[in-house]
Amino acid sequence: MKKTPWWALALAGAWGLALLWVPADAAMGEPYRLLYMHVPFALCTYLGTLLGAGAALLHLRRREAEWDRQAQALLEPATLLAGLTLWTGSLWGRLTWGVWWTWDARLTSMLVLFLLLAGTHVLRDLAGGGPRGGRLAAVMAVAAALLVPVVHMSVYWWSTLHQEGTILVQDKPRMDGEMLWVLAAGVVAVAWWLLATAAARAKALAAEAAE
Amino acid sequence: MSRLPLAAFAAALLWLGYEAPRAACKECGGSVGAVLWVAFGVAFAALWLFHLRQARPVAEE
Repeated sequence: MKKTPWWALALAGAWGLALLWVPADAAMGEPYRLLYMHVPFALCTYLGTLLGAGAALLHLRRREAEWDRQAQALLEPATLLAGLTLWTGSLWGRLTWGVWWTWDARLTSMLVLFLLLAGTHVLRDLAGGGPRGGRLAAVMAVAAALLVPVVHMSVYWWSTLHQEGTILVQDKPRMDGEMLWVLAAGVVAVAWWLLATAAARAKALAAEAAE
Repeated sequence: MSRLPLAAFAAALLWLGYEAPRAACKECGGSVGAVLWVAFGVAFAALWLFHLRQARPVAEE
């Protein structure tokens, strides 16, 4: 029988606490529990994009296929996380704002980030894979990484419907302690998933290259 | 750890995740609980299936 990955246990535990243990939010009620998915997905999209772009930069500089595989392995799950961020955000928006989508600065910049990440895979395929596809994907990955601070700061730079930051703020995080710990556990679990998935993919890509 | 206990654990959590908000929110019936139940379940399944897809040999894609 196959083994359960440990990230899955960590994630089930964090989300179990989010659904059952932490109290409902005084202002937003039950729908706020979507935060325990939405925020880890968003933060780990940043993480995957930045790490993937770092590997892409090393590939552009050194022209080593290993860095290209690492970049691809990181950017694929980052793309899924960006899509899940948009999906959970849309669901949350429908429950609290009454709309599935609005052209708010945070939502729009996140959508552009998702499209740039998806674009890295499209470019790679259109170029037929190989070294040229890897270089084109790497350039777009760097562009995606440059957008990450814009996505994060968008709620401060423009007047938006999306609330300001809760965790990555200069002062103390604006959350109750027990809510914050459960959220932190979710961030760690999703980051664990990201790194485990990228490592498995890089191994599979390396095995294919060795054949 | 085998997958069966984890699947049972996840199913129990998801069912309780549906029941707890439903019990807490009399006005909204079970709708919010159902949305949370489905959303967390779909996200968990998406992450798991994607991980399995990424780990398999490239030749099988």
